[in-house]
Amino acid sequence: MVPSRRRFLKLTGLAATGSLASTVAASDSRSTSATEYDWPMDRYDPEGTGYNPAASGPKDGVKVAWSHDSTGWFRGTESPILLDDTLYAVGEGLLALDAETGAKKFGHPGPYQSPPARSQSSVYNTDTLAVGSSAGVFGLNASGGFGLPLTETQFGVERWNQRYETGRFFFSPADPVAPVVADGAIYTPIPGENDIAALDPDDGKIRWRTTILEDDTASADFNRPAVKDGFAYVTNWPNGVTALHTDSGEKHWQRDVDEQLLLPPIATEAGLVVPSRGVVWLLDPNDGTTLWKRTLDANATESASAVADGTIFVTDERESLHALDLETGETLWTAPFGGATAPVVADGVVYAVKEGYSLVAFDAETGDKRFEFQPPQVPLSAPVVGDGVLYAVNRERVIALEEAK
Amino acid sequence: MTNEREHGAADTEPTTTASKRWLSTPVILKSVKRHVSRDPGLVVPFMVVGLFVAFADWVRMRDPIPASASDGLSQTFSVQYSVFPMGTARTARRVAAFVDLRLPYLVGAATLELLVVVAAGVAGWLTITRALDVERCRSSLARYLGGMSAVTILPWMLGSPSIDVESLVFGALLFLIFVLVLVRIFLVPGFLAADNRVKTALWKSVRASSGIRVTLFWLLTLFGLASWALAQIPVAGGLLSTVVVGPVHAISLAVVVRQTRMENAAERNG
Repeated sequence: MVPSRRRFLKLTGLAATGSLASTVAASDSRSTSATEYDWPMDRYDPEGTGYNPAASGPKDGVKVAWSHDSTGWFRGTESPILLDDTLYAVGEGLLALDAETGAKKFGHPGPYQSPPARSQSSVYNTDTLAVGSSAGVFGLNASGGFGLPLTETQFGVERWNQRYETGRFFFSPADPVAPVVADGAIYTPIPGENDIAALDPDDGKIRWRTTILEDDTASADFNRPAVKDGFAYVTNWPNGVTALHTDSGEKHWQRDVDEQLLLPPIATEAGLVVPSRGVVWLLDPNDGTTLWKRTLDANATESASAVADGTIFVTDERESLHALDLETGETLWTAPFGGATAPVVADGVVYAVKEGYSLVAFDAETGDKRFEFQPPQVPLSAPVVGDGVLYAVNRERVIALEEAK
Repeated sequence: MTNEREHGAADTEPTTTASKRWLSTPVILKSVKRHVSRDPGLVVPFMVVGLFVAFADWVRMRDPIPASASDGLSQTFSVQYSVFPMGTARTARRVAAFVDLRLPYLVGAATLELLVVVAAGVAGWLTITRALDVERCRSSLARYLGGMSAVTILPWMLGSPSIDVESLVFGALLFLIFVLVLVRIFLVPGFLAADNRVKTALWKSVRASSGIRVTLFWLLTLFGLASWALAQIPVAGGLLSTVVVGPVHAISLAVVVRQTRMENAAERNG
């Protein structure tokens, strides 16, 4: 006879102990550490500045350092991110490349659409990349899991997915907004809904979900949130600006502005920069009151702004790139620049891709044009800046640009 | 004890002289009901496993390791049939979520998943052998657990196969073949619990299913639907699915296997 009952109970006890241990085990150690050249999410930081003070890129001209175009399924338009020596690009999948050489580390096709955001995990040995899609947010293994022998397939890439039940798309699924990672949480608007959610990076569970537009039956069109000092700031079309407590999702303040809001806000020490179609505001982050308001002859609907060293870089999407004083809103310089762009700043240089076809570099102090680069393919994504190198996604390829000698 | 059960069974089940063609779905289910009325202890193993499945659901929902709703729960309609008797948990953990886990979490989560399968296997084996009233031995348990691992753990680790079929006719043909295979192997767990070797159990299952394929089809459909429907119930779905479907499935296997054994014995005796 088999002593099955006793053994069963013993094994059950072991499972209970092991599982409970994994439930309550507190781990102070985190996954991989960041380096100063990391560009861990869209617009660089949770605040959305697009400015890495430690990075520097080419200043007087560029040449292609490497180009990766051998991954057949890859089609990208969004900015990559840089973590240590690995560049991650999203375009009908996740592609990880060696930042030094462009050699492929791994690739994993999937419905991923937004730029990834690095989140550290307390249960995994490797980072989790939060990636948005129109169906929800995915948590991907930054190490790529492991490759199955004799195949191109990676196993263990997708850790979790937080799919949303959405049903309010009027025309087509909403474009996903890049997730923002700050203070151990992932902040993301929910496509097709009027909600903002905070997700747990470990398992993607929703920590809180707050409805921004209570009475609106149509889905709100949210922009990338900005997170700073315990608050998540979000703007949505047509006119809403909301500040939420990051720990609870509770609304701190909410207000409307008299312009259409289609661009992401930026959280700074001076206040919350809120660019709109034709006006730039600086709002008090504590109560949302206007600190200054600057009207531009603009029709900005698809761009993002950058903030570096007390200067706001914003395009009017007509014919100019403006540098505004963060404290006063006064114009510091204006440079000829037509079209939408999401500029980034590093080491005194503003890099702005014009309408997805031409990279233009400006002197951040004076607005003088330093160089322009047009790749053979379009579109070209906004670049990210590393240690002397710019990285960008260029349709079917990913490129690194270095100083032309 | 053995004799009482044999006599009792003879009152309610097809006799040795009856063909198993008499084993219609209602007859089998009535027989299951009578087995349970006579011996309520038959439901105890799956009751324990049901509690364990509910506990596992609770842990998966609360621990920091990714988990999701079980396949099929989010669908409008699903048949969650398992060849080996077990219920449907409300939560599941994909194997990809285990890659690069820190060691304590890996050990805890893997132990939980493994024990859920082992517990369901032991419960199924205990229930079938008790209903069949056969001697329990390690070899039959090992084969039963081995078979169960092959059809549950391996697909879990390798991922459920999926085929994109554009032709409706070809799709229907594939589905028909799949269902026929399921019907033919329906009785394998019962023969494994009766201490048959895997190859023999497979062969006996194929042979014994002749003549009662429609009955077995309805049974597996019923178990699959009930398992899915009960698992839909919030919080207690995993428990109910296991406690109800597990014993009924296991005892049904015992009923058909016993009938087959009796027929074979009758044939041997002329």
